[in-house]
Amino acid sequence: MLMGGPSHLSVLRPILVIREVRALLTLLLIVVFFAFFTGGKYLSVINLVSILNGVYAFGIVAGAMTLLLISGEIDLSVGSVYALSPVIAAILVKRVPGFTIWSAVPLAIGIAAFCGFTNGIITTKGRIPSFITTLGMMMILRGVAFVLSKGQIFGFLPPSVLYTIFGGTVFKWIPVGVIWFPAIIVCLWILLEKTAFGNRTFATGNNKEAARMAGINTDRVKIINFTITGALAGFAGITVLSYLGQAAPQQGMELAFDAIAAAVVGGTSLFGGAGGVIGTLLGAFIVGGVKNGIIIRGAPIFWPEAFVGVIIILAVVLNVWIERKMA
Amino acid sequence: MPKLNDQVVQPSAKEKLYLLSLRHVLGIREVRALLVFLLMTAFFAYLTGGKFVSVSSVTNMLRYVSAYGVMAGGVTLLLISGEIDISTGSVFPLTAIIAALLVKNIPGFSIWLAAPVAIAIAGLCGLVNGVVTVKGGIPSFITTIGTMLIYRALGYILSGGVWLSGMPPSRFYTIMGGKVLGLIPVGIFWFVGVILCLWVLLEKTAFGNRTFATGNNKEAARMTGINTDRVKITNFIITACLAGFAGILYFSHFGSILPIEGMGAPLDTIGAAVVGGTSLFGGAGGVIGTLVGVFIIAGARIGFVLARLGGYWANILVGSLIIVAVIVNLWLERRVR
Amino acid sequence: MAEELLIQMKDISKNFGFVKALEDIDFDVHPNEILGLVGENGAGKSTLIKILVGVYPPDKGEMFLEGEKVNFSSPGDARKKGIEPIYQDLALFEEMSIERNIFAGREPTKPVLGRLLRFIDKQKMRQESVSILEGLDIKLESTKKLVKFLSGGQRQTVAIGRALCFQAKVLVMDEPTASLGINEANRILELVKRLKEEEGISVILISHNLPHVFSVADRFIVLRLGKVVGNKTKEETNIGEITALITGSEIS
Repeated sequence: MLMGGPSHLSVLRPILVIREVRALLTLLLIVVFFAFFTGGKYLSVINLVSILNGVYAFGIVAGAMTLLLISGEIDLSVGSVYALSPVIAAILVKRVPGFTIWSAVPLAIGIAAFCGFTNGIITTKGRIPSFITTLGMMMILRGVAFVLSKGQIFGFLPPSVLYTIFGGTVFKWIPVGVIWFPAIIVCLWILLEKTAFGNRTFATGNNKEAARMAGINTDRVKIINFTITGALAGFAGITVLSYLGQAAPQQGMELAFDAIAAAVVGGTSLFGGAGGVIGTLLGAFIVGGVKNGIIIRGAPIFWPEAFVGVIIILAVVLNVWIERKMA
Repeated sequence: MPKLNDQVVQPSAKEKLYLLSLRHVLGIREVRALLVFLLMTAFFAYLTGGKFVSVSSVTNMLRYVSAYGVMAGGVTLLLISGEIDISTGSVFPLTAIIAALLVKNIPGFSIWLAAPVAIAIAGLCGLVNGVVTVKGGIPSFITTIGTMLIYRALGYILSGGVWLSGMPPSRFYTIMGGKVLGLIPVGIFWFVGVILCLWVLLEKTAFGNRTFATGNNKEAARMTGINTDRVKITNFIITACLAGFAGILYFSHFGSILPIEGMGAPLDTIGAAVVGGTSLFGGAGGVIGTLVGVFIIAGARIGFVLARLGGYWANILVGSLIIVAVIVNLWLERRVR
Repeated sequence: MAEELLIQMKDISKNFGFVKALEDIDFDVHPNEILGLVGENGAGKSTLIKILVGVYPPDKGEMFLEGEKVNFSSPGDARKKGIEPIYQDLALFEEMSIERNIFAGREPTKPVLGRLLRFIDKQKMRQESVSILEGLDIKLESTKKLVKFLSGGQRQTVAIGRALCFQAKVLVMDEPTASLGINEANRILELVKRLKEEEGISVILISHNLPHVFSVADRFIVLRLGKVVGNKTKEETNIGEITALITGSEIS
């Protein structure tokens, strides 16, 4: 049932319904805005590389978070997993004889996946809201990261090709993570749009009871999505370890918010059942672009995060409003 | 014909037996919380060789409780009405910063005036939280994650990122943040006072009844004519005002404020409420339980530091406590049905 | 009649705590029949249907499908055997397309990269959705349309289409006409009649709307307070008698 409205809106309606289009338009607006206010500095090569650098880590996590959000859950502990995973890898390499980075990384990512799995089990079998589970786990895992590392930052790891693969640079400046990020997004897209599992993720988030009645094991769907989120959060942490050469237990404090903001700006609904990873990819660039723009303008610490907060609220309100108008 | 309420019905022997039974007693949330507290005290007393129950450690606990406890009380009300607030930890320093700046920069502005003004501004923050959540139709934990980031940034901007201290002396600070008998922080009396007021508000007033109703079944509450939007927004304002009040208490006691203070507050306050038996889904809970819950969280934090294990173990424990408490509370609620 | 029964439920009882929801119910469905299951709220209709459909097991009693004893441990089980429920709220996925709705939980897949991965067979999904819906005489531009944009009657038809996709033997429809306008309700009732006559499917119709039920049903089973109080064919009875049986009032 289309509501009556000004005629120009109805012309735009079919295009604006597509969330990726909305996200793209927002991105263009942001770029134009900041380019104007920084006299073009924003579009310099150095700055663009800087943006890319900041985006790919939380972008990867945002992609996974998108799937989880679509299935109707959320994960606030990703920042802690992102810190914990490289810390574990670094400790294994430096302190435990017999571990090279090649054996430490899979184990670290495995543990990250297990953290996600635990989130899933507690949420589905304990039947508690995921934001509580992951809020608690966020505290727990961050505490574990600090306890294991005794609060220290790990650096000076023995050199290895692995770091180049996950953290090297292409064409001298561009971090290789910039290739990993879209590659992972594409894999997630295939999973979401082309497989039965993806269909069931949508169904579970849309109407859990109906999905169950249709024979879908909604617990399993959610647990798998949680595990993927954990694993990719750990993977993101490893890419940063590879690039920076150090693991810090306090990194990633705002990762969860950045990832959620990216997904939400990209059009994924916080209520589950609708969304897409392509939108999230654009959303990640929007969030990264805004944070960078604010920093360039010389704003003090915590401003960028404040804007992330504004973005989250605005994006959710807008999406809710648009959904209502389109119905 | 005997009328309905004429005869006083005596509880049957079976009922009396049940009331005394372990099952019933354990079903009371305050009792469970108290048990957890006693267990924890015993655990830490053992772990720290008795240092846990020393005077200095108890005073530390009371200090912690005074600040975070007041916030936890407000959060409890909000949870009962069915919403949550993650921005309390940002309103906490922001209010103190605003008060300090008013006193320092406006000649003639005393802390007696600045504090209420700052708390009123905190109330405004709560109003924003409430309006955006209720009118925007967004889940409160998203709104308040957003405002948490915004309010913290405001705190940084206003304070320039540095410590604010060196306030002109005033009796205000003694009343709000002094010590009784040279030892006991006055804040603990404020805390208990606030909890009692909240208890009265919740259990004895119409507003409290409507808070429970709104959290229990918003649609049904609406049908009976309760303005659920107003109930929720009011609770948001109360929560934020109490967070601001807590900030003033902290500032009065320590004499300084950093914009980064209070980051752990949302987790600790929600944790205290949940461990004290308040349901995350709204409609059930109580501030007395939260009172015990705050002591539990305070005890955990102090205890781990005293046991030389470092503060981060406390995070692990508190995080686990929250998860376990929610699961247990939920399981018990389901059993009743 | 020596006809083999499609569904036979014998001595079914179900208690919830102290409440006896169903007491020694005998409930049969013949092949190729539209059966109206009627009764007041709380009479036990939903409980009986939930047992039939596999949501939970009976405390006492047995179920037979085409002569074979069956024990359903989940709704998925019952569906596999051809018992398809259509709930009052339709249990559709609003943000998903019609075709994805129809095949949710039973998506047709094809192997990709040589059995490494399985993708949804979009072609098959589309073709089958289209043919089912055309058979139900519904006009839609595309099965890619999201369900939230459909009208009540169209949604009902999609829900029926979903049930039919999988060799259903029995459709269990809970208040199918409750939220429909007159025209759409009539269309759905016509559809139900066609399903019985042309596809040979039996339909259990649960409804408070007696005129609707009377216009299509062959037989009526009336439940009251957990017991069967009436089991009459259309020829044997009339709306007045059925109403009296439902409410338990005396017919003078």
